[in-house]
Amino acid sequence: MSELISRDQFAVLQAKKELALLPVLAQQVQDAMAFSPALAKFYSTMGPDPSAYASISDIPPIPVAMFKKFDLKTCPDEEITRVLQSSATTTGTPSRIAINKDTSFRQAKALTSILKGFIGGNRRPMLVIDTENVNKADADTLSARGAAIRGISQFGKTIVYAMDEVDGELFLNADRVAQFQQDHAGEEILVSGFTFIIWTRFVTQATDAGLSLSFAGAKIVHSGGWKKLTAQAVTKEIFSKGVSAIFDVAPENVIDFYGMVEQLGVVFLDCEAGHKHAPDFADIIIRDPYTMEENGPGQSGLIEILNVIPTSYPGQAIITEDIGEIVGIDDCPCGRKGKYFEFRTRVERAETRGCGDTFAERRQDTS
Amino acid sequence: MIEIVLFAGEFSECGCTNVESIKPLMPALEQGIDVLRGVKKSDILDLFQQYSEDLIKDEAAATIEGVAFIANWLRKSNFNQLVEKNFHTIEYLEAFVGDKKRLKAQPRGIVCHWIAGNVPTLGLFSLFQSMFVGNGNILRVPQKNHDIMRALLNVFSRTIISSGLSGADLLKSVGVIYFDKADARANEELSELADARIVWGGEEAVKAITGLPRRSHCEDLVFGPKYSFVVMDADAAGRSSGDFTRAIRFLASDVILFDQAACTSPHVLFVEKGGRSVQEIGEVLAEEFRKLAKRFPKVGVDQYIMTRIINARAEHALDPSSSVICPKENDWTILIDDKLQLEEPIESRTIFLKEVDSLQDIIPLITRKVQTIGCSVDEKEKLIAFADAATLHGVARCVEFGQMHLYDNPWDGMLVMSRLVSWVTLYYGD
Repeated sequence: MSELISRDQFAVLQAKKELALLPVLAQQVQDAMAFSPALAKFYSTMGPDPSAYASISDIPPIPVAMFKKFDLKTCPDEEITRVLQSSATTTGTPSRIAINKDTSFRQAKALTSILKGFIGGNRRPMLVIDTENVNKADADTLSARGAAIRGISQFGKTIVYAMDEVDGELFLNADRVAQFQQDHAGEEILVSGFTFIIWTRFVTQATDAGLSLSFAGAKIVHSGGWKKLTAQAVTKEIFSKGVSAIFDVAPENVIDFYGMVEQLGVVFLDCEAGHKHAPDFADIIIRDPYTMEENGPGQSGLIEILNVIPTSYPGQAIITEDIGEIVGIDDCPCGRKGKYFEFRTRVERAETRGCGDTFAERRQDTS
Repeated sequence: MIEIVLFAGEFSECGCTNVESIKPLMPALEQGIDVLRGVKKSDILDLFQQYSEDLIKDEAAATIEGVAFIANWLRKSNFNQLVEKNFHTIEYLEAFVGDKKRLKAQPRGIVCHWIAGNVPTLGLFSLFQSMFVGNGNILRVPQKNHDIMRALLNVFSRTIISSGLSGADLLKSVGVIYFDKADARANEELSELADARIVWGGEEAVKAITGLPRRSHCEDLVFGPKYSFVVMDADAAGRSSGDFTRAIRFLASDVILFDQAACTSPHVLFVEKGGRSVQEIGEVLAEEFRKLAKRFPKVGVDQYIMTRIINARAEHALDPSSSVICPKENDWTILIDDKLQLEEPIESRTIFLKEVDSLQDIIPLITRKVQTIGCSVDEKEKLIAFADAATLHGVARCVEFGQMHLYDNPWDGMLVMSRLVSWVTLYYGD
């Protein structure tokens, strides 16, 4: 397992990968069922016995929203070292993901093995477009933003936070960023942050402040918040162009990635061809929202992420509320093997449906 | 910009007729209203009867969801009953009735309808009642239902009776239009034309439309967001297999029709303890869903609702005190739990099944938003006691399984046609 996670990724052909993942995932599901009666009930209600799984798509996926409603754990409480929380922007309730040492170690290893294939393996100066508060070392819980920064910061030699938090709002610390520029001019640096914060806080304030940076070799890795940016008509192209102008780098050095706190350790970065790839220890399934069958390339559907990393929570197969599409398998021009896909959008509610469009209402609400 | 589907008897088949304002078109509609008011009510009833028969015979129209209901509703015997409920006698619509102080029900004028999109045939229920009492009508119909409206009104247009009266004659008094819901100018224009406004829709739509400027005499009929559920008492749940299965079959069809998006669609089945177990009832219901799903495959899958189904299934599969019965695909779903509450509707063939100690336990859950309760209660006195308590708490209809979607008068507590007339008096001696 450790070797599968640590080695160079994107090298295994899809069919071979699925054959390798199936027994591992099936065993992990069995272990989860043995540990948790609730998970045993879920897996036995929603699918066949794990011993009968004929493919990884037979594993019943747990909807990502269940991590907001249940404390889903597959290890004893005393082994849990940290609880990760999602940002709770959509529903107001965060996901809570229990992490033990083993999972945390594997997540770090997994992230390293994925990222080094995109940004290189060397550690370098890192500018985080956020406040240091989101990555407090002593916190028992960590937000998705904090967790992403912590994961990527493995590649940081020195870490500088570009923003300050004042009364819950983020403000650019232009002096600190200018000092970072002075200290590391001409070096290859790494920039990381939450997509929405980079655009709505950093880029706007840096532009207003007339901040001009020059980091030709910078890699800017970002994720999250596309829903709000799309609503503001900010496309990936507009984003990359705007951010690259601030740092004076080529737009292709601005790298979007797809990931979530429920599957930390597995991130899907845009390759040179603009596709997101599943690493060898994880996979992507696009399911038809009605039939729940696996869709082939070119058919959009719900994104499901499978991965072998977690031993503290049931992350073996998680179905999201995101829509994506498999673009191809084993034949991306970038040379990476396995499935590659595109994220399309979050599932959104259609327009209101008329006189039956109501919610159950508590009696006291109507007095 | 306002899209014209039909105006003063003229169909815009391609849907490409757009106007800035409908005011210039109103004189033609006014002429159509004059034609309508010259027609005897008995002829209109005959025309509706003929239309009912033509709808069922028309191959294209007969396949439209809900057409069987509207065809049945338009039958002369049924429509006569509606008229009697509203006016006691049809004479009030045609003459001054009474001694000395004589009463007549005059049409209000122009009725403007904002039709919701969840039930394709909804616009017709609204239109034909208003048309019958002599009003001109302009309906704002959601774009997704234009083809259905065209198909149904085309059949009406071709319907003709022995007196020579045709649906085409009456459609001269009708406009079917569309504009974006955010188009303030078009909304205001329609509102200001209205002598009565009929609004069907969710909370947001109702608030937006009723807040539009209107004429001081304008009458509003609001059919806002409503919720429905079903109850089964212990005796009904313990019936012999054949009777029990028949009731469950009716319930399954109530759930499936209109993709469970109508205000009359049931979302929860409460079963009183003492008959069959909820698990056993769930299995019988599942079998009926299986049969219906084969006959009526789901169309127009909504991704948001599918994710809600996926989540609800998982929640009930994970919760130790709940269970779920469903196929692999997100078609029908039965969610069994013991939470005594009305659930947020998931729609698209998803029903919660809950056991209660007594039907009376449900009464405190009822709000003014509950419209219809499907009742399978064997003992008449028990049914009356339940219905009395439920309606006191705001429920508008208590009906049998299989009749939840039958449009009737009163609706949401209103005798609709009587609200679409002005009651006028004439005094003179014998």
